[in-house]
Amino acid sequence: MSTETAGGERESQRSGPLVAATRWMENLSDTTYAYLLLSPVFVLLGAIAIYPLLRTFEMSMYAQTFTGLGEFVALGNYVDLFTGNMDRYLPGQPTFLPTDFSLGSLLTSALAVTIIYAVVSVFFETLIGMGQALILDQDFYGRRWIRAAIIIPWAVPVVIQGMMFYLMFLPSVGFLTPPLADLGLLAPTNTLNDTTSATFIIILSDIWKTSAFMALLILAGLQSIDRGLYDVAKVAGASKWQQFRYITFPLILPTIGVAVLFRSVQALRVYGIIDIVSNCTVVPSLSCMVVNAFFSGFNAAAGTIAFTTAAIIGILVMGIIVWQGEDAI
Amino acid sequence: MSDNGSHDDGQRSSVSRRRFVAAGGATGVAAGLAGCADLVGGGDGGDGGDGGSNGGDGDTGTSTGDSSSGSTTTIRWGIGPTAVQTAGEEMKTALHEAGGLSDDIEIQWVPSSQETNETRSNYSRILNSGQSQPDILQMDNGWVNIFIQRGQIQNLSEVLADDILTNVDENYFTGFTDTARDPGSGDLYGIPLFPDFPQMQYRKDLVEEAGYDPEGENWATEPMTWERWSNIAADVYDNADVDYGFTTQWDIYEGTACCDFNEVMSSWGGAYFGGRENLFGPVGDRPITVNEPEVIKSLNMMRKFVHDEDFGGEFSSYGGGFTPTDILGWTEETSRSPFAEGNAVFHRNWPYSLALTGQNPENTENPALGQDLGAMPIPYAVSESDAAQPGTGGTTSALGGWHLTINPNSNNLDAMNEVIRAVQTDEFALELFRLQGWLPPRPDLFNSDEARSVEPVGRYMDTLQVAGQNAMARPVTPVWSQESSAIAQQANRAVGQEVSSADAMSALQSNLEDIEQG
Repeated sequence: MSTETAGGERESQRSGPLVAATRWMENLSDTTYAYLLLSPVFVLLGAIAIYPLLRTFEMSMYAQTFTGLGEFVALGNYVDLFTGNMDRYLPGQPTFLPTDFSLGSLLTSALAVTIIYAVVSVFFETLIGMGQALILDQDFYGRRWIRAAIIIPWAVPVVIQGMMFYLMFLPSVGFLTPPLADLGLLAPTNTLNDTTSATFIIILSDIWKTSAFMALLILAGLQSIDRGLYDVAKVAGASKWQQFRYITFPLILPTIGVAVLFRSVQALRVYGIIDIVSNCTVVPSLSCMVVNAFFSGFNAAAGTIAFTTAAIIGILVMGIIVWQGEDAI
Repeated sequence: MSDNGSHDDGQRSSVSRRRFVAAGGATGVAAGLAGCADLVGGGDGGDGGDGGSNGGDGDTGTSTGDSSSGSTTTIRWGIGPTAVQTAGEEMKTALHEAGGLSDDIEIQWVPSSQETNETRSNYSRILNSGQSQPDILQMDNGWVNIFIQRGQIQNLSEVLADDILTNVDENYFTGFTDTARDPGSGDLYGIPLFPDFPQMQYRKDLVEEAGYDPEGENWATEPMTWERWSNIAADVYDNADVDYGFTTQWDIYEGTACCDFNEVMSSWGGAYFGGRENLFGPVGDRPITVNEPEVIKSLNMMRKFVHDEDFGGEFSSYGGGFTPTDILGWTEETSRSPFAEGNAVFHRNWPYSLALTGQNPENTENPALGQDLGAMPIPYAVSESDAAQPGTGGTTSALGGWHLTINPNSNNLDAMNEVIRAVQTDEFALELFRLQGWLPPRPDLFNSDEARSVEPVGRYMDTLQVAGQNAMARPVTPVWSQESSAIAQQANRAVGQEVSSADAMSALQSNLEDIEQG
């Protein structure tokens, strides 16, 4: 009681805006204080994320012409995009939607290529990552080193990764083109400018790089499983497969869900690896189209495709969240 | 108990809040000081322009300099990286010594990209965001027009001195200068730096060993047919110890559309938009003539060169199979390096390659051929009079070349007159010709004896003049960048044998129609 009075007296001896501000701050409730501390982040996000986002959206509502922005057309660009009228602003042959369902046509469609890339690469990454995680979960000599080794591809920067695969498959220099071409998987010449081959290589390089990421996430899930459950299963006479089917898999499923979510979002935004290994005209991902349109000065077209990409990613994330329930995030 | 607890909480939290603010404040002050120190350091250094924040630094540097001691204005000049690597310092010296630029003005190169399209994107980004640097942007004549239409580069008719403008009006190559003018008002937006015409370059020693006589037959000035040329190429290739008979560029990039394919197609009498008069428009109202027999034949000929494909005997009299499939991924420098190393017989490239490859190998660390380098006009298939599209046929060199445009946001506009005057001097133009193989942009100098005596490019002056007389501009309109990606892609697919030439061209036809009319 007496100390508090003394403290009050001491404080009252000082005044001025700084002291007033400090006192005001000290009297905030915990929640309000938390928001106060978060406010710089909000300001920063607002300035570098939300404002550009809104500005891009605004830009996407003006008509696109070859010399600049035209009059306000509201959502007209989005209609154009889905009816094929925006394709003229995409570089070269690519269209936004596929014209039919042949492989050739799917691979020249920005939307289809992006989805094919995401689905195929994430599928194989999950499969390989899970395999790696199951092995790494075992006790064996040198496990620590293997764990470190397996993560190396993931630590390689995209540009270096791109150069590696570019050189591996560069016709007449790369050592991987002839054997894979003999198997009929790749075009023997002009490999990196061939849509099917280049898409294959880019998917391959992504699987090489990010399987380790999946493995790490899934490994975390595996390690959190109560080992006692396996003892019980053994006593009950469960086979290895049954142990996996009824204990391991259901328990790591939420982890897999999160991992798939992260990877899918990342895969749908693929750009760098394409630009380095091949060419945006050859493998037209959505982000490629955005960058290309923007660099050509077609801001409205770039904004429209960017927003559509964001919407697609948003829908996908929603889908996974609904599938996984609250556990997903 | 609970009262006590909350009291404790309050106490703890109040201390941490204070501490937090104190720590935050200290960090802020420290960061601020560090920032200022950086700024001051940059200003002191004079050329503090190597960091990312050179905008502010440069300004401080110049303004303090002005008020106190000897003032230096730094002009930042956006330029291709190959030029800087080969003779960056020499070009600076030439500006000051040959061009008479005062020492108060310092030039700093800002290398962009080797690839013209990347350079365009880069400059587009710089100008879109209103950056004040580089002050001078060296732009490909193929896309200056796009920046003029968008109003993003400085109208030189408004800022440069009259003597400079009159000089350009009266003395420069008109056709080339026109690519730097606004077609509507005729105002000048770029100072022509050098026009560029490619030619067929070759290993003279190998050709002579195989029993041909380039001097006697006047290869340097008399264009030969593709038929004869391909037989020579195949013959020399078979008898010489080289990996490639012919290296050129056929990647999916601007160069294939504007130049490589354009040359082959024109030499067959074909054109993208129905002949010379429609090159610059009107977009949407001009014929699209890529799905025509002459264009398809020209692609089939390239396939003959690469794959030795016969097309039912149509090309049986041609030599074939001497060109690697690597051309499908090659651009200028990638195709030049095997040639400069002596590993190819023929090579199609711009004059800069003559300047580099024609150097005496004893005087340079880079691979070069010296006197063994020969040049001839690009071969042709049909003569001008037999060409299907008006104004095409015969030997054709794509019209390349670069202009100097000025960044309208530059803080150094007042120094521009002096820089441009230095660039315009005969001496500087000849130095550029010597160092880079950049042709003088004025006919009087281009045809002069001084130019002819410049080593090594002067040796090829006759060929360059023939190429210049047969130059074909690329069809630059605001839609060109979209069209050129489509053209390059289909030309690449056709020569790569992914689809037949006819299918590629019919796909291109509908693609171009979409772009033009859409």
